[in-house]
Amino acid sequence: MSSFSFERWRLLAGRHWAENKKRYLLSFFAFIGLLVFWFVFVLLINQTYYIGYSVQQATYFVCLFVIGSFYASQFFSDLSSQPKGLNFLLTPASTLEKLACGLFYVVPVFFVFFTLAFYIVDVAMVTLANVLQTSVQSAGTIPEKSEVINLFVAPKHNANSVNISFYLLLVFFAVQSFFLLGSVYFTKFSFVKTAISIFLLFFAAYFIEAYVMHAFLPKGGHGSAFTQFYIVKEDSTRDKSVALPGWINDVLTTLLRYAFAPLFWIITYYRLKEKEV
Amino acid sequence: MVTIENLSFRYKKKAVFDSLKLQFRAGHVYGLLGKNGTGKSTLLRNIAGLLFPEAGRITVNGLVPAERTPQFLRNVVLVPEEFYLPDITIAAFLKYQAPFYPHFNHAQFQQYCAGFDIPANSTMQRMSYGQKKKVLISFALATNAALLLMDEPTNGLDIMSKSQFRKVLAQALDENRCIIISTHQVKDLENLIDRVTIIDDGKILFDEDVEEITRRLAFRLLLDESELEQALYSETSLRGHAVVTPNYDAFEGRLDLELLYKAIITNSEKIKTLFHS
Repeated sequence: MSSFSFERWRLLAGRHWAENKKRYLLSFFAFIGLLVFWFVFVLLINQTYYIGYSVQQATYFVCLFVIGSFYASQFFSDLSSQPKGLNFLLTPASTLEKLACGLFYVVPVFFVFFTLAFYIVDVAMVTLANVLQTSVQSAGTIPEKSEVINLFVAPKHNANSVNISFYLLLVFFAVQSFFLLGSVYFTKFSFVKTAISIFLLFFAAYFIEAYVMHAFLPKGGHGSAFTQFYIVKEDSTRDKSVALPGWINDVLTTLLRYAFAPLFWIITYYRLKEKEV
Repeated sequence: MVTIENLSFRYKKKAVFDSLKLQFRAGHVYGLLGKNGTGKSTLLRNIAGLLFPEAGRITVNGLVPAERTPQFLRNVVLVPEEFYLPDITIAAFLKYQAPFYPHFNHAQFQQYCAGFDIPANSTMQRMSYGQKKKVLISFALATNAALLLMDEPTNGLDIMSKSQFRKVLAQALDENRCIIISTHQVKDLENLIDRVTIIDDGKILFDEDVEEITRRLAFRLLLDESELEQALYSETSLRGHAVVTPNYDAFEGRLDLELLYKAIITNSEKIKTLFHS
């Protein structure tokens, strides 16, 4: 395992910022501009000037997945250019420090600045929507006011349900980490190639689950947990249920939720270590 | 300093080295010569840890390059033919890059840059290729790294800069430092290198000290054609015949690298016999 020096990591992070700050600041303001454009479009096509929860949530997550994945897929793309790759690999820092610098920008820095940009626009546009709504309000109608969504708690109208945003964020960090890995694996068109790889992996997983596994199992299906399988009778009523112990289900569920991103980081580390230019 | 034992290396289909053995010692400037595609740059990249041997072992001061540890990387600097410098000022570049090298000397860097006529507050992206190369060479020398690898360092330098390059490189050499220069511009390095290593077809064709070469071989300009019989290599020029002959009469001449190279490529067996007699 590589050594880790906070001082070298700080230098790497500082150097990355010095080399990329213009690009990052331009991208930040460009994203704000695009969001404003999108919300104005939403307001114009919606005559009640209402920006609903689902519109805000969908805007946030679609942009997060697309931009976050694209950014991650470009992070180690320097390695595909011989002069840049050489500069990167010959910098006197360990592979762990170089990866940690990448993860710092791709995971927390990106997430914080993306969310900040989103909320700057969201707050402004929701306020604008409510102002416009008041100005065009006709007598006797009480239109629903737009509210700024809080992505980190369950929606008010569905307070008892699970917070889907939490699970979407978990999926996002796993997908983003896969794209980061793709930026080391693929020297050209890493975004497209990684996207195709994800599609193929999902297709393979679906094929194994839907066709291969079911070919070996009796007629039936999964219960409430995926570690549980029920067997059905001829008349399609449930006969027996086979379940793994609860703790195995808990461990597997936890791993599926949280382990993908770290797993892809570990693979990225080893891939970076064996990278040649 | 650098020990290469039975190095075998291949690109996917093309074998480059097969059981190569070579040593580079501290306190010397090595000229690595050879035709295009014979493996000079590949050898430098193996020594720098950018490419990994298929078989055999390379060590640099006891460290294995392929591990790319910070301890190794801060003592090895490569000036590649195609390089990358970020779009930042020299001051910012120094701020984030110099601290990686514990022996970096800012005064030396300023001195080298001044010698090369590089304005201290320039942004590197606005510089020409030659100017950037001069910054890179100044930086590489100022790191005071124990091993300095240079791939075609004088490509892109103007006449005055080539002269300055020779001057600073001569100043930079000390008994703890090893400099390996791969080049086709042999005239630029004639008075600088003290050992000549010629690679041909992935093998070491010739590896001798300059002192030994001038003791064994004479580089002369002949007017009388009758003396050509003795020549290991000759070529006609406007001033007469430039020849390489065995130095039986202890002729005290200067090394002509270009003639030496041509002589070895065209008459390697005779020259090997001469050196091993």
